[in-house]
Amino acid sequence: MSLARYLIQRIFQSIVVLFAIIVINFIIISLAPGDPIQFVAGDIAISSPEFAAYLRAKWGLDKPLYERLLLYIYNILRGDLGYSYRYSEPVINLILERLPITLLLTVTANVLAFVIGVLIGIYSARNIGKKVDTTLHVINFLLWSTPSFWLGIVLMIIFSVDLRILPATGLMNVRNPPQGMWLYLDILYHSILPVATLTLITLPLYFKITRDSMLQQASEDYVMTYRAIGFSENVIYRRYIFRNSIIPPVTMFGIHMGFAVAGAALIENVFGWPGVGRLLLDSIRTRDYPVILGVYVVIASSIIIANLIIDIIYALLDPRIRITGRR
Amino acid sequence: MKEIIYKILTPILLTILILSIEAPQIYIVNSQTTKTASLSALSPITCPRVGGSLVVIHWGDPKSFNPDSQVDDALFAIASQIFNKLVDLDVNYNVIPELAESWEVAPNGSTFIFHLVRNATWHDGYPFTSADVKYTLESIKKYKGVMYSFLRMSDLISVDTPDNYTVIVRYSKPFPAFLGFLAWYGTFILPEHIYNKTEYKDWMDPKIPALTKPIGTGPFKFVEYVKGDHVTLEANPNYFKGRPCLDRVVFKIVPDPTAALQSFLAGEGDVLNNRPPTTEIPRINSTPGVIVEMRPVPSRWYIAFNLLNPILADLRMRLAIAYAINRTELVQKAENGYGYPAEGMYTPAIKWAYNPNATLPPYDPAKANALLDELGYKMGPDGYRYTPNGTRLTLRFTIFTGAESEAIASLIKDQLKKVGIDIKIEEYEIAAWEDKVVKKRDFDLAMLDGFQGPDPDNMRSRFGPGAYLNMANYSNPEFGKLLDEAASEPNPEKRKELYWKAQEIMARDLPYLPLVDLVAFFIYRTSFHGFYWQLPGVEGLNVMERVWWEGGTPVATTTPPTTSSPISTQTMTTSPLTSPITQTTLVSTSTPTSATTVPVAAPSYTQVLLVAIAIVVILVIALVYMFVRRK
Amino acid sequence: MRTVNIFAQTIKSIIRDKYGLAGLVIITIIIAIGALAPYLPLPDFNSTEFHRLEPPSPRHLLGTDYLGRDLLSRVIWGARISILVGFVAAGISAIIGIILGTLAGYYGGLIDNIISRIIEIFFMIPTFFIALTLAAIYGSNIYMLMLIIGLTTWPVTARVMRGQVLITREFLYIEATRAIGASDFRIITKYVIPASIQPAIANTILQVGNAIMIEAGLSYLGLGDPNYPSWGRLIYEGQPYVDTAWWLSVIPGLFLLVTVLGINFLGDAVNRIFNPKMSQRTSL
Repeated sequence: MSLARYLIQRIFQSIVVLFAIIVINFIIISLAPGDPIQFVAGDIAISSPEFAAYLRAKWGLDKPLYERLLLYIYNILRGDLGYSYRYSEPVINLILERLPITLLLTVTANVLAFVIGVLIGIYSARNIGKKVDTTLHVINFLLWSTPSFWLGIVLMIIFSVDLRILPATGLMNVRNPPQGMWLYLDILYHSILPVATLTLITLPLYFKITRDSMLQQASEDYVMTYRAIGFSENVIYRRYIFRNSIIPPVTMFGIHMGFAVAGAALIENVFGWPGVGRLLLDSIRTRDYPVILGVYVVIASSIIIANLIIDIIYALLDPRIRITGRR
Repeated sequence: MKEIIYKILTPILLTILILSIEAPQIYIVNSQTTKTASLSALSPITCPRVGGSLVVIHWGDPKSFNPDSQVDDALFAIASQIFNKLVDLDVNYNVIPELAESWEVAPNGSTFIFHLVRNATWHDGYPFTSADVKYTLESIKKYKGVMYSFLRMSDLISVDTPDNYTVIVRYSKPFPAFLGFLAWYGTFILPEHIYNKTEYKDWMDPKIPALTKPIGTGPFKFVEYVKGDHVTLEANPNYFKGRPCLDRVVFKIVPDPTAALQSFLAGEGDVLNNRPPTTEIPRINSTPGVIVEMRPVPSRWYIAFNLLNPILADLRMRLAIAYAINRTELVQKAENGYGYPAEGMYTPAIKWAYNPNATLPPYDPAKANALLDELGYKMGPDGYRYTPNGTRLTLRFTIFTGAESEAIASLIKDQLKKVGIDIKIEEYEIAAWEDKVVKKRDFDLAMLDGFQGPDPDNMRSRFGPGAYLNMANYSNPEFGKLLDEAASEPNPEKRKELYWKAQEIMARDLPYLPLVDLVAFFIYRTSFHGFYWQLPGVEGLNVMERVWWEGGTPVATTTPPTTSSPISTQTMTTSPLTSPITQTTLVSTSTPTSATTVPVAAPSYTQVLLVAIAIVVILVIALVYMFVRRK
Repeated sequence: MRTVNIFAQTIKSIIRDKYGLAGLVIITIIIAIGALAPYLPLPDFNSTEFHRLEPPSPRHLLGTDYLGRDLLSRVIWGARISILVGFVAAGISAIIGIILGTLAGYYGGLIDNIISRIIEIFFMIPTFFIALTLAAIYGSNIYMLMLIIGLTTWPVTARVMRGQVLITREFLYIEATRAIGASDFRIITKYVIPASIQPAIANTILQVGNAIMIEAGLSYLGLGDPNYPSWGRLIYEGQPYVDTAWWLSVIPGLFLLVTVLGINFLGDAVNRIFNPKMSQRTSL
């Protein structure tokens, strides 16, 4: 019963936080200088006041702030994120169109980074102090300190410009677009560099957490006990240490999944990948407020949902929560 | 477990390897382009070879597919294939006929009669008539389209259509620049039968299907638009000038200039629409199979002085800055020599209106120093000048982001430092820049570029008193009067005189300081011919209808146009108004084509995602399985 | 005096640790380079008088950029800017974070609730985008950037601080001091903060690296300050020339990498010093 109470409390909290984010975002963005009408009316000097007033009326920009805010919230509850100034399309459509493209990048990279990072982390922790561990640890630091966009540029130089074995930019080959199955493979082919870059950038996270977690477990008393009893290293390791230390990396994996929507914006920019990150960057440039807000709402929602799922899983697994309804 | 992994990985790796082997590109060096001098704009399209796809590396996403409703530079090149205008501008900014095969201007200069081609059809089969022109022009007026001010819609009296192929446009005042502006931007003819429905609020109502799947009369039909990636168009077999030579035109969207250049050089594109860094031009030109052509364009970079700033209100200060700037160095370093240092107050690319005698102060740092000393700014020990009360002479230089503007600004900062002026560069995204500089006029020096054609009336919108873009707050009544007069003067000689005089005044007052006159680059592969820059007087800006590919199928004889009625040669007269054409019967056209566009299987990205996730999940499961098994 | 002692001890521990030593050395070198910049025989970093896009040569050790400016000079002056931005931004972040985190941890209740909610909200959106939006809207002045980065990264520090304060609060001597009648302010400043600040300090060191990376990212997107050659800005300026003059982008990036690496080494070492359980590096 207290479990259910805990869950309901968490869900309620999440809704409140989401609501707060929407309101805050809306206010910050609406107070910004740079009327979007300037951009739409644009460089050619035709912005007669009538034109500007016409557009303002059309998009409801002449109403006071709180009215627009209420209208916006009302619309969100109906699932309508508004219309983009720039594309004249519903924001939700724009985002949904690009979402799979981004997720292809971020989910794949996250999973790969998780798998490789955890494996290497375990290996490094087991061989602590030896050369292998030191080398891996230093490489890890290197990757952690590398700017993602710079790494993308360097990889592009090596593989696209010099070696010419991978395409530089874009989603697919548009000159002779392949059909059917080949199309998907073409897209995968174009995604190799961006995914590789993102994986390399995310790797250090998992490596570090795994390694630290394993080291911490290894220094626990029960390990000493088991050793004294006579269990073999392998058994101690597999049956106890591994299972206990896998929790933090998995938690991080879940949290990172929440960031999957926008996590690759810089890399999308380097490789010309038409995903949600690019959409966000473009719409910030063009003051396309509805899109900016819409993307933030989606990002916030996904993070909140991811956190919620993690909390629920913990609640189910951790007996302390189940019994007392509290962490 | 190892076998499981091998069974999955090997086919994946093999497929990736196979895909990475691309067909070798065959480059033909220095092929001759045949000049078709006897061709005119309305001549039927003749194709030495038919077939092929042209990929254009394009710099941005279109905002919508209504090219008349808002400033949408990214759409312009694409719209030029899908739609037609009444008249078009060729590469030299001369007016050539398009949907209007001939026209007359009344001697009072305020009434224009257009005679439309009779065999044009919309992509969905409907015939093109004067009703479409009437709807388009009236919508520009009603919904405040992009060209509302330039086309002086507030002075428009009426658009009449006495029959299906005649349009009479009446203004309340003479409007000599009308044809130039009508041929320029935001005047593509829209399909009245699709847009003009009472349930639509206006022409940007999201319910209008043509906003996402445009229907035009142009040489290419819309196929698909994958946001952020590409726009695909295919040939319109019923185009009124005949079927275009290419099968397909694809605009591949790559906003980043570096990536765009990479893409083009890697063979992923045939034409490069993004302007590359000028330092790359020699390299691009010497790439086998690629040509770079250049032409001056009526665009220039210029500085605006905020005349309300007391320091800059003094003409001597502005002169000092002008003397201190080395415009030749700007061209050499920021444009790699591709461009011209500005000499006069208007762009020399519009030759008749350019006054070569209204010149700018030459590069003379000694004079600059002398003027600054005269103004009382003493040179300090740190190399900068100081005002009499001890503050450093610092001016803000407000630019928008972009490699070119940053380069020019950095060079000017260094040049002005040499005479002791401290420049602080402020850089903003273009929207914020517009807000700060144009709207709020909060700046000292600002720099911008801009297209100043096709008619010198453009000056009125940039420098005229009260103009939106007149950020310098320049208001010289004599200057304003000259521009207003010239805007309504039907006699070309008199107009020229007025504009020349206006430039002299501006050169004297120096509210704006032109810096660099730009050139446009045409970068393309030599296996394609028939581009608009190779066909002056024949082809409109950006239009690809006559482009053909060397790899296409050869055609024995020139194919006659598929539609009926003869096409008359163009006439541009100022002859007296002839009597309105008596009504003619509606020419029956061929049966409308059934489908509007051929649906191409749009890639379903959810499926792509699922495939990717499936692969990865299988890997994960295999590995975990392997791990857990070893107990 | 006690603080000086602790400080000296910490430095000794850092030096003893391999990674800490490496980090300290790297950072010292970089800071020295930046500090000495005005005294080195370098051409003016904004002067465009040289031949453009020259590859590295004895005359220009790192070549020249697209306007003819000496890259070595720009990179060295860039060290000053990037480091300055990093420290100031991290400093702002640390001050706000420590204060708010302490208040939240010490007082609990409503104050804790509000502050924790705010922290949560900040975690809901990747801070980079908030910084990006603010920079695009309010301009890319170097001081504005420092402020923006500081204002968007304080929640991490606050969270760390709060956690530690919650633990420290339970110590008996705090109770004793309160029983004597010392004011809250005195308790907080004299006892709570010094006792709980260690993880926050480790975190702040890492925040410097983070701030430098964020500034680099913003500059890479074109939102940096064009008057100063920060490393991110240099990468942005060099990107169009990536296939002919790759050194323009790659070399500033390397400097960035090394600097952030040093900071991460140092920060990680400090973290381990303050958290002894990790430092028991016995075999598994």
